[in-house]
Amino acid sequence: MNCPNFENQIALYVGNDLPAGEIPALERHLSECEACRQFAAEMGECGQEVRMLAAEDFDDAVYALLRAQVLHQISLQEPKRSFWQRWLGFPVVRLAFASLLLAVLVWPVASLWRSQPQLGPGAQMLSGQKLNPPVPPDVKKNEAQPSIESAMSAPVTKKQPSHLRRSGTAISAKVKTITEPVETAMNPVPGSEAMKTTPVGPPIRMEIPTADPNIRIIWFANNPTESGNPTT
Amino acid sequence: MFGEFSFSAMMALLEAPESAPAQPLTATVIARAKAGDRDAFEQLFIRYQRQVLRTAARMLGNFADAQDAAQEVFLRLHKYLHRFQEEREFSPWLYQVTANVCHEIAAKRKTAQTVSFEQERETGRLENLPGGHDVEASYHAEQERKIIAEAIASLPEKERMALILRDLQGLETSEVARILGSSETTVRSQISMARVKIKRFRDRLKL
Ligand SMILES: [Zn+2]
Repeated sequence: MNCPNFENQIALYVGNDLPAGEIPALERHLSECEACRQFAAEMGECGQEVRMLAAEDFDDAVYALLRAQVLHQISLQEPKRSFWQRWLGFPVVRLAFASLLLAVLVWPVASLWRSQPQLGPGAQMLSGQKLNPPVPPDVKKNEAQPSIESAMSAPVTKKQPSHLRRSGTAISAKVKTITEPVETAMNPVPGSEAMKTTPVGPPIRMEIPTADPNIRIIWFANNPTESGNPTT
Repeated sequence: MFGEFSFSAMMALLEAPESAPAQPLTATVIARAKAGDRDAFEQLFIRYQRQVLRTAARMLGNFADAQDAAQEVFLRLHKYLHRFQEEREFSPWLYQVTANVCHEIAAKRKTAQTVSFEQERETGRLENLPGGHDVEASYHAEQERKIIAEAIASLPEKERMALILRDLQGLETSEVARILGSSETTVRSQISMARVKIKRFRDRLKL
């Protein structure tokens, strides 16, 4: 029979939990007491068996089910998002909405421009040719009041002109896109109001650089009522 | 859908095999989870699911209660994660939540069920222990294992919790004391009594 007073100390000793100060006294007792040595050996075996339980685990399906249940409950607790909140979460839908919005905003400007097809100052600078045509009365009218189209073309002419004339780069392509009204003016739809109302002026030479520095699109437009032939 | 596992969560699995002891998560993942990032929460879940369910199963002694406890722990984790102070260690904090939930469930349940956890093993929900091919030796080991498991389940709650955290989860005595809100002396006392009781239980049944 081991000594009951030492049981708890031995239980801590085999698990390396006995405070350092108590170890020498216990070890001294163990060296003298056969019963307590036996108790300590069995306690050590028992501790090993306990620790073996730590290796047990549930299979993955149990954890998968647990996750599914918890995540489902969390999703039920989350505040319900509206139809629009849910759909606007998708980038494609966002892009579509943005495009639609842009189209709605740009449409009035574009249609206004179509009704005023003559080249604005931005287009003149793009062409690389200084134009001093006799300005028709309605053009003067446009310049007098700051129109939407001049507001659109003005930044382009200020920032980019010489650079655009020099080399055909990706930037020039971008500018082309920005100055969409210029293109619209250069390509009046046959039979449209734009063709009918365009004032007669001297020949206009437009030179548009492309991505290939060796290729430039030169456009002669003597009179918007006559069809201009693009020459490369 | 929420029930599906995200790619980032799967990557977390690849980085840290589930059988390995849980490594401390980066503060970033915890911060992201706190901010409501679903993937980060799943990463936390996967990293700590074993710690929670196994502790709860040993603590409560039966699978159904352990499952309920683990669910509750992770629901609370989701709900109160924003209160977690990142200067604290996450794992001990989660042990604390687990201990509290197990205590509540055990208090609701009048009588302790001590054998169901073993039944779960027999029905295949517990993975088999790595063992030899010797049938007799396997049977002997299995009997000893059952005795120990039942001995643990028969311990008073505080002793059981201290022993599970120290001997099964391998935490330091000081950590166990912090988690249980006790002094190290108290925890040492609980652990020593638990070990002696398990040995006596084992001695009785082995005779
Ligand atoms: Zn002795």
